[in-house]
Parts: sequence; C-alpha cells; structure tokens
Amino acid sequence: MSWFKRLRNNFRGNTISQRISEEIEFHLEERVDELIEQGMSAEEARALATRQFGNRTLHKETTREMDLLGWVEALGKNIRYGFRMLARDRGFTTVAVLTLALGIGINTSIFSLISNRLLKPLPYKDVDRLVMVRETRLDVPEDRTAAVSNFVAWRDRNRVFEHIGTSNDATLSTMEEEPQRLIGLRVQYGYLEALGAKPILGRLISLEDCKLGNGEVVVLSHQLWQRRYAGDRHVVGKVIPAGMRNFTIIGVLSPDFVPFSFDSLQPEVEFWIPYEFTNTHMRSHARYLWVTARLKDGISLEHAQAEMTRIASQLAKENPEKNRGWGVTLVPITEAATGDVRKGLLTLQGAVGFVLLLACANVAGLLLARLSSRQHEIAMRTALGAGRGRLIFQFLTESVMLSVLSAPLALLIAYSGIRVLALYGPGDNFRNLAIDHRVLAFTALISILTGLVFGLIPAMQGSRRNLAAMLTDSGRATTAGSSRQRLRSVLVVSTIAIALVLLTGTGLMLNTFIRLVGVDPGFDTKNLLTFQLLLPTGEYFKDEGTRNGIAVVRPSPRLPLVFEQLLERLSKLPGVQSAAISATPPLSGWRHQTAFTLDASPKTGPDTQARGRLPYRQRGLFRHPQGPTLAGSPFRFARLLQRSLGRNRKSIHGTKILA
Amino acid sequence: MRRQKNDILQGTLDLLVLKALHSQGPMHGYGLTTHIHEQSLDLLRIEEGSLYPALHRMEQDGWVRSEWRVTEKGRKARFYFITPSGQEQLLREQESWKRLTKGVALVLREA
Repeated sequence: MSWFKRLRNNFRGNTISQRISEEIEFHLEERVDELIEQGMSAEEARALATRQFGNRTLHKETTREMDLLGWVEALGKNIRYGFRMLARDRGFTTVAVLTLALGIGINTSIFSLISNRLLKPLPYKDVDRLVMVRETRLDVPEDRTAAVSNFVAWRDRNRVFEHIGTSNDATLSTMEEEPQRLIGLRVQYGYLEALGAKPILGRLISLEDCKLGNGEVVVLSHQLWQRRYAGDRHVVGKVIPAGMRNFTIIGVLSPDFVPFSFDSLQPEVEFWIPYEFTNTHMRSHARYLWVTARLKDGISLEHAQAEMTRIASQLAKENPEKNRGWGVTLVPITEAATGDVRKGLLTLQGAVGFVLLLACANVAGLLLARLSSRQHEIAMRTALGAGRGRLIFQFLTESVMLSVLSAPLALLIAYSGIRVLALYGPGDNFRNLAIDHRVLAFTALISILTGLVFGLIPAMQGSRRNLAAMLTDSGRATTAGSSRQRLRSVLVVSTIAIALVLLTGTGLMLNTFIRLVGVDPGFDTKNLLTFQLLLPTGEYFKDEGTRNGIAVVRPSPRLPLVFEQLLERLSKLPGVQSAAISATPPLSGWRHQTAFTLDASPKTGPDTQARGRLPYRQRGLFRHPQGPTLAGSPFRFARLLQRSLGRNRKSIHGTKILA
Repeated sequence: MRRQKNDILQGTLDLLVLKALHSQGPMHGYGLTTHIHEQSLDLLRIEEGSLYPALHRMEQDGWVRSEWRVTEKGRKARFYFITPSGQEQLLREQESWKRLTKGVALVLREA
C-alpha cells in the first residue's frame, strides 16, 4: 500500500482502527443474535462467537498497518519499549554501542578524507570548464606534461580556450634583514586568468611581462602581503630584492585564491612571477610544463579535444623530430586532481567497510544470543496479537536505536581519527580535514543502514516462532534449536571470513611496507640527516642553451668552491661527523633521476653530458664513514638506481659515471 | 503460518465478495459471510478475521465503497457497495477463475 494512501487514511473522519473495532463489534453482535435464535444462552453465544472470530487484536493490527498514523504510533511505542529493553540490559547495550561506534567512527573518518579529496569541488568558478592540457604518446597511453614550444603553439593557434596558461616551481631567496625562502610559481600569462584569480591591488601578470627580460615583476598572495607588508595599501611598486634580481610588486591577489598546479592545490604558494621562455626553452624536446586552460563558453570538451588533436597533428608535421607520435589529451581538472588518490581512497573505504561489517556481524551475534532470553516476551506479545510484521518492526527499531545511539560516539572517534591523520599523515593532504555537513549526513545514513543490516537477521529469526511450543516449552528453549544454531554458525563463519580478508589485506600491505623500509640502501641510514639547498639562478647558474635537445644549466665556476667551503664548515659543527652534497639525496624519490635516461640516450652518449652537468653531484657522499657496505661495493647504489630506471640499459653508464 | 493461508484465499475472497455485492446490492460484513455461507450450501465459510482487512483493502483499491447505515434491527453497520471499477475487477476475476477451474478440471480428468 502506498504511503500516500496511508497518509490519506489519517484524514478520514474516524480512524480505521476505530472503524474496524465498530465493525467487528457489529459482526459479533449479529452472530450472537443468530446463535441465541438457535437456542444458546447469551453467555454461551458470546463466547462461541468470540472464539470463532479468532484473535481480534491481530485482525485489528493487520488492518491498522494500512494506516500511517498506526505506523507512527507504533514507532513511538517501539522506541519507548526499546529504551526500556536497552536500559534493562546495560552490559549488552554498552558492548553493542561501543562495537558499532568503532566501526562507524572509522568509516566516518575515512569518509571525511574522501569528502575532502574527492567530493569537495575545487575552489574555482565554473570548475567544469577547466581542463589540464597534456601531451600523450600515441603508442603508449600515458599522459605527460607539455613541451614549451608546443604550449606556445597551442596558445597561438587554438580557438577553443578562453585562457590557456602554465606554471612551474619557483623560489625566491630574499636577502633583506634575514635570508628567507619563499615558495611560489613561475606562470605564463593566461594561467591566473584561467583559474579566475582576481587582484585586490594592482594587476595580474601580462603577456608582455613574460617576454624575455621583462620578468622582474611579482604578484603577491594575500597571505604574503599581510605577513611581509602588514597589508600595506601602497605595496604596489615596492621591490623585493632576491639574489641578483629585483622583483617589483605589481599586484596582490584576493585571499580566497588557491592556485592549482601540477596535479593538486598548492596552498603554500605565496607569489607568482612571469615564466620567461628562452630560446633554449623553446628548442627543448623536454616535456615538463603543466598546462591549465579554461574552455570558451559554448565549447564542449569534445569539440576542444578535436581542435587540439588537429593542432597536434599539424605540429607533428612541422617538427617531426620533436612531435611525431605525440598527441594532446584534455583532462577535466577535477579528474586530474583526483585521479591518483581516488583508487587508494576507495580501497581504504572498502577496507573499513569490512570493519563495519565485522562490527555488524558481532552485534548480530549478540542480538541472536539475547533472543533466547526474550522468548517469553515474544511469546506473550504474539499471544496478545502482535503480528510478525509488528515484531520485526520492534526488533529493527531497537537495532537502529543501538546504532543511532552509537553515532555521537562514532563522531568523536572520527574526530580523533582526523586529528591523528592531520598530525601524523604525510604531507599537507590531511591538514584541512573536517567533519562537514556531508560527513554528518554520511554518519547518519550509515548508522541507520547499519542498524537495519545487523538487525534484520535477528529480527526475522526472533519473529519466527512457534507459539504453542514456546509457551509450553519456553524455559528450556529446545525448539529454537537447529535453525538458530545454524544462523549463529553462519554469523561466526562470516565473522572469521571477514576478519581473515582484513588480516590478509593488512598483512600484505604491511609486508610491502616493511620490505620497502627494509630495502638495504647500501649505507647506514642511522643518524643521517638531509636538507635541501636552493640556490638562485643567475648567481650560481648560467643558462647555456640546449645541447642535443637537452637544456643545459652550467654552474658558475666558483660553485664547487662554494660547496667545498660549505662542507668544511658543516663538518666542523659540533655533533657532525661528516657532511656530503649531492644533487638528489639517496632514496628521495626518483624524479630528478629521469635526467639520466635522457643523458644516456643512444645518440648523445653518456660521457659529455654527465661531466658537463654533474661535477658537484656526489661530492663526499661515498666518503661517508658510516658507509662500510658501500666500501666493498661502490656501485650498489648505482645498481639500485639502474633497477628502478628499468629498461634502458644505457642508463647504467650514466649512473656509473655519476657514482 | 496463518498469514500465508490468507494470501492464497485472498483472490478468491475478493471474487466472492464482489460477486455477492454485485448480485445482492449493498451489504454489511456479517451479511456477506452469511450470504456466501448459504449461497455455497454451507460449503464455504469465510474466516471473519480476514474479511475486514480484505474489505478495507478493496476499498483502498477503489473496488468498493462503504458508508454507515442502520439495519432493520436498528443497529449501526457499515454497508459496502460495488463501484464501476469493482465491476470490471469482478469480470476479470470471474474470467481468470473460470480458466483456472477449467484448467484444473482438465488436468484432474486426465489423471
């Protein structure tokens, strides 16, 4: 029966249960009359008629279930009754609530991660119009970043983007009262515009600013403006000296702007400077630009994709050496931002989902066990006319009450979980986790669902009773026997199965982790500290153009000397045994190492490049006294590197020379 | 299980009730039970407990409507009327009943 009809029933003149009562009363009276006519006494007739009619309450209940008010009334009664039952059995209630709170709490905290990373929209206007533009190898379906010259061609030729821009890392080492390192981005005109950045003072970076030689201007984040200049309204025109360059402030962005660069939001970025493309950049075959674009109004993603594919094939014809075999792929920015984490997060949610199932199975087991002590009560209610539906309704009300009662505690657990993640989680990913409206809704929903899931089996079981057997036999509970026994076995088996799945999964992950951590790097990592030294271009490095398609940045001749001095002074620090410098610290991740495969490309040969670029790479590293394993096998680290680089055999030479 | 027995009877019960209301005009619940009992030469006895929920449901479905009236004995009783859509339902149910009995009869004869 539809809810509408049930609802409508409530507005009829007299309620259905009342009407049914009167009808049944009339029926009985007529029957009594008839029986009296047949010669019975009034009392006998009444008794017989009533007996023949059967369980009046049950019939009334059956009819009343058609009445919404009947349901609401019943729900209220169930809740009151449920509270009495839960209060009577405090031990059970406590254990069940704690178990459920743990399960729901863990799920809630993981969901807050999902909510934050996958569901929270990126903070841009019309975010569905934003795309990342990537170059793709046609033979291997793998998205890459873009070559500088191709980016410029895209910008000049396309008719589908309102703005297209790109960004890359930048740091400024300022030398005012004390040296300070600021983190920012080099951006081409179009990048800030595409993301919809608005200046509250001054202007954004123009195309003119990006021309070679014009680049000494800077746009500040609201935060940096507040910190360094205390919100000075006349900051535009002031100069930030950084190394050998002086950057003139041209604008300040609004406080709500967070840049998206690479494949995530970059809240720590505090300034933007023009990205000047040199001829070296333009000639380079290297593909390293992260390109962001906003589609024009009325242009669909498919249309834009078609246009960009056309441009890509033009570029392949014009410059086959650089572009043959390369296409362009547009990826919606939301997808680009969630692509990698999505799988991991969903796996995690699946795993904690199992934990919740485990909690459900446990509580269902407890409920089943409790059924035997409630047999009398169930029998009594059945005798008094409670239908099966009504009994199931009662049990489900109680189980949902249990899980809803555990929800506040679950939120508390989730909150602690989030705090722990924020404190110990890697990177910035977990900083701004919060229990927002989505998370609250999720908790409410899974609480209710959980209650229904673990309550259903005991409810079905509890309501399926043989009345006569129970009333005569209630104390001993022999009839409950086999089917309930079987059900409990099923629960126990599934509990163990779920626990096994979880244990195996956890075990595998831990094993992977331990193996990763336990990889012998070839040297003693104890008491080994590393830090990063960022030197401004201009003072220590000179852009040298391209050689064989590879951008070469030549260090200034005095750089080795600077390093020697630095190492000497570091070694003399109290508590320091020895110090070393390398371009990339060992085991730091392999990003920079991709350069080796380039160096060792068959055409160029490994020698010249490596010598030209890497004279300072590993100074002192292998002289480290804590590296005895290294002494016997100086190429251990190189071999590790080689293994991680994989297929390209030539790269061995590159790394050997390095080592 | 009591409930299931009713479910099997339900289709038949609807048919009997609709037919009775169709041929006899408005009747109350008790009148229906006695009418069907007599009409079937005491072969059929409607379980009172399932009659009222069934009547109520048929009213929800729009096959019958009902109102309070006073009987000859001066008692207040709920009288049921068949509606046009109830008439249609009756035709449908009669048809399917005939097919069912015919089919069952054929099968039984063969055995």
